[in-house]
Amino acid sequence: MATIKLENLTKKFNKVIAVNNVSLTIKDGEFIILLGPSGCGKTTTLLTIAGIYRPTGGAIYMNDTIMNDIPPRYRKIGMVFQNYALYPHMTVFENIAFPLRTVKDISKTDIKTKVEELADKMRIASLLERKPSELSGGQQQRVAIARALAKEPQILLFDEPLSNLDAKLRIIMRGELKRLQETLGITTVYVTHDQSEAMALADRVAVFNHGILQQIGSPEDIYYSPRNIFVAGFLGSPSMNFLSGTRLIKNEGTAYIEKEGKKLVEVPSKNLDKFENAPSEDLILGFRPEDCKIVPNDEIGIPGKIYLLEHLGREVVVNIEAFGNIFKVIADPESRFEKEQRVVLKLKPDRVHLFDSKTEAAVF
Amino acid sequence: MVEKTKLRPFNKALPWILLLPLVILVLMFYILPIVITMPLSFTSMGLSFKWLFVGLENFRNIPRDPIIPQIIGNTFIYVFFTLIVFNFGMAVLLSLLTTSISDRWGGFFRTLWMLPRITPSVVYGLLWLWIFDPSKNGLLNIILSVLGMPSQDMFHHNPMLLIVFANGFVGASMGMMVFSAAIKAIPIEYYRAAMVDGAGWFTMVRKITLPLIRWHLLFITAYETLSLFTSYQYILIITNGGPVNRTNVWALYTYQTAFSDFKFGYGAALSLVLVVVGVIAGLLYIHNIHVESTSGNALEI
Amino acid sequence: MTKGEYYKIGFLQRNSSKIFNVTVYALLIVLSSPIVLAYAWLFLRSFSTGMAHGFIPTGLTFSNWRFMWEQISGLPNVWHVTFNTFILGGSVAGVVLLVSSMSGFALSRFAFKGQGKLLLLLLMLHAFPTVSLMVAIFYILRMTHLLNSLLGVILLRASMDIPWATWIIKGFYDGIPREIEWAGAIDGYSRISIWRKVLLPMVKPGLIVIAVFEFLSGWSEFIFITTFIFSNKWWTLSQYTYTALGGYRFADYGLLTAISVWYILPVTILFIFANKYMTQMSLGGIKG
Ligand SMILES: Nc1ncnc2c1ncn2[C@@H]1O[C@H](COP(=O)(O)OP(=O)(O)OP(=O)(O)O)[C@@H](O)[C@H]1O
Ligand SMILES: [Mg+2]
Repeated sequence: MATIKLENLTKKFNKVIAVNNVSLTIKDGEFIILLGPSGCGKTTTLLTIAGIYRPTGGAIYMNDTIMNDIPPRYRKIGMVFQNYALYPHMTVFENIAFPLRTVKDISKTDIKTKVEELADKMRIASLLERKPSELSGGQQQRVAIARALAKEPQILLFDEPLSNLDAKLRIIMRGELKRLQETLGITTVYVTHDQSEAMALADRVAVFNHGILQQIGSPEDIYYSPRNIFVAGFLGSPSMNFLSGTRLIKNEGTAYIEKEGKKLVEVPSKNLDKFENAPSEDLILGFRPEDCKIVPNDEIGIPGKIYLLEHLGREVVVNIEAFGNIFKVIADPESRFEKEQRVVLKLKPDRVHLFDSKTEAAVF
Repeated sequence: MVEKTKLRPFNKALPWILLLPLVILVLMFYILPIVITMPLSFTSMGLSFKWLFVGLENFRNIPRDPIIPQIIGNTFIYVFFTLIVFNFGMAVLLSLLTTSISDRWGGFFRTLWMLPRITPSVVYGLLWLWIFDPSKNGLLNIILSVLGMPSQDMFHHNPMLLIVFANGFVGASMGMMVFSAAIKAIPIEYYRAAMVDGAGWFTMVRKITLPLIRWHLLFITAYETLSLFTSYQYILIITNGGPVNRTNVWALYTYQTAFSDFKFGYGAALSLVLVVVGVIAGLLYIHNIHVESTSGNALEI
Repeated sequence: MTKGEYYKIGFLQRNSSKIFNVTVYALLIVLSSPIVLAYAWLFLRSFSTGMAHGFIPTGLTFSNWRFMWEQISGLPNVWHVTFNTFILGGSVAGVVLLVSSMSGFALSRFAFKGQGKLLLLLLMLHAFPTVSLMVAIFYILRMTHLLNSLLGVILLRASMDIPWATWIIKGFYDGIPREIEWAGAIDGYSRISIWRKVLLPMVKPGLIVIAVFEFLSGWSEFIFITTFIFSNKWWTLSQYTYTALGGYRFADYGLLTAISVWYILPVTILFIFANKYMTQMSLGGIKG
């Protein structure tokens, strides 16, 4: 179908740089998710791909054709908006038929067949005569998808399409979308700020912050090997714990991360050569709440005291105060802890992350 | 994937193409007339439509014109009394009263006061001819006779009063609408607090309502002064400035000079004052209406 | 002081809100009475043989309405004049709708240089008293051969109202989410087709308001007609009524009121059926 290539794409609004020098290649049939906090430039990137906005700098290629100055209607795209943007004065039928009416030499019966086929696929066949205002959010969503698919686009664009649905429906639609995309094989760019949605849907996730592409990779990739502090902190809930002011020490052939003379965690030997291009002082240690154990006492580990217990049913989040920080740790609800109890956090050596505090880039 | 022939770049000129009719009409009926009024006022143009430049002659003639002092006096009386009694005074009163009762009935009275404004001016003129009819058939004289007082002939004894009333009943509605909207926007909590503190209606009006709408009061006063100064339609219909110029005002005199006496050059000179007043009114207006940026809605295709 | 004496509640206190309400209504009724009486008189007088004590109809007659089937001296045929008035009202509405819906679209949905200034200019022009330009406008109409023609008055009246109408309709366009327009662009339409097929239907309420007001604006136009139209072939009801007023003032109220009632028929209809709409919208339309 179609590949998309962004080359140093930049988009400015007056002085605001919404998208800053983004380069990425999207493969044919791939499901890419643009993920990031509010205002990071996801929507702007998507609208620039759609041709609604024109790039301020850089280039957009679709199947190796440069598309910078081509209006949206020639880009063979379909798009679903956050608020669906259905035409309020048209019926559902008219809404879905609307894109088809731009096709030359298409007969009335062809349009009718096509609309009915799409309505069947999206299970809205009984709603064709209604106006958008007479539909529920989920139904509007299906109409919007049917409309986006009407012209058999080569590229599908979604801007937070599920955010207006209630939590339960969101999960259902998420599954349907994934299946739909897999069966149709259309190259898809999907914007969300919901990381669980990203993890569930994407072939690859592109994480944005302040208009800059932070990292692109498979969901596992960005979760287990974040390239910088932002990506590490953005993904996961509760988010990763950080401890600054740590450094690398070597002791009798074994390397440790330490702070204030206390050995916190051992560094696996396979990671040692990564320090060739990185400092060994002033490091930030990162570990996920699920990647550690709480023990009563140990030589190596982070000593602290229990500050708060959050019972969430399936698990308990233990808040531990150490080195003036609060660390969140997921523990078995069976385990017996008490407030103010002195404990040691035992980290899994091959699951910890280390960041250079100056560049915020990951050492490993 | 895209057929080459179909590729068309974004059209930068499109907004201006859409704006073209507007621009043409604005140029033709606003900008050009403003520009032409200037040179016209330096000519003695009459029905021959010849551009005979006479320098400052027209402007020198204004102070020498024997009716001008009377015109200026009339204009002052007309603007001052219509403004104070109606366009400001009645407007404030109506807005206070109509916002003190239920919205339904308040709205009804406000609509009633809008009626003169949407009535064609000649019909509205007829109503005032009847109200001040010097014979026993006029409304004023009916009321006077009920009260046991003698009939009045306002057309001869006090024609300016008639003009002030006729203009005032139209003019009050603008202030009334602006003030009512402003009063309705005042948070109800202020009044609740005042009531608990024991304030009566007059105290609340003086201490809360009027101070909070003072900018609207100021704007309407200034704007209505200027717009009354340039208006003459109802005077033209009801008295046409008569009897013998007793209700003639600057704007009407300008009109008559041009279209009854066909002295276009002199008329242009007289109207220059009105143009200046008009520009000031326009500036005042935009100063009071917030203009939001719209570029957020733009589509770059 | 005992508790019983503390609250002294008499008739005035007990009924204070009632008294206040009665006072307010009474004041409003008195102040508004000239308007009510004048319009009531206008309708009653047009169907009566005369008025006893100036206000009580003495008998029903349709002879006041004779101008509809008879020649009245000094006045042209009323049907022809009414037709002209219709043309004027309809054309002003048409021109204003066309121009303002185009320019409102441009001002609301495009970003271009000078946009802010243009908007301010329009606002200024809305407040600008056109009557101060009559002399120069006369000259321009003469140059463009638009004197003594309805077309001239149509364009003039339309131009006077277009700044207001553009602002109003721009407000309606501003209320449409931009995603709707983006969706149209992605669905394969050019900006002009999106405007025609998607945006125009969505601003229809605004267009209706403008159409009604502009029809009335053209219908009621007086100064431009009386100044720039010389032949009674192009008269409208305003000039017709004005001329009747000149010929029959204080003399034949029956005829004058009947003509007036005929003339204000559209205003009456609007007042009865759409007065809520009217007060809301006219706030922007009035110049003071
Ligand atoms: N039309 C515009 N004009 C000016 N600034 C804009 C415009 N659109 C976006 N921006 C700015 O560009 C930045 C990126 O906005 P964008 O809408 O792409 O964010 P986003 O990642 O989609 O956020 P969200 O998750 O809240 O939708 C923001 O700072 C925003 O204020
Ligand atoms: Mg967004």
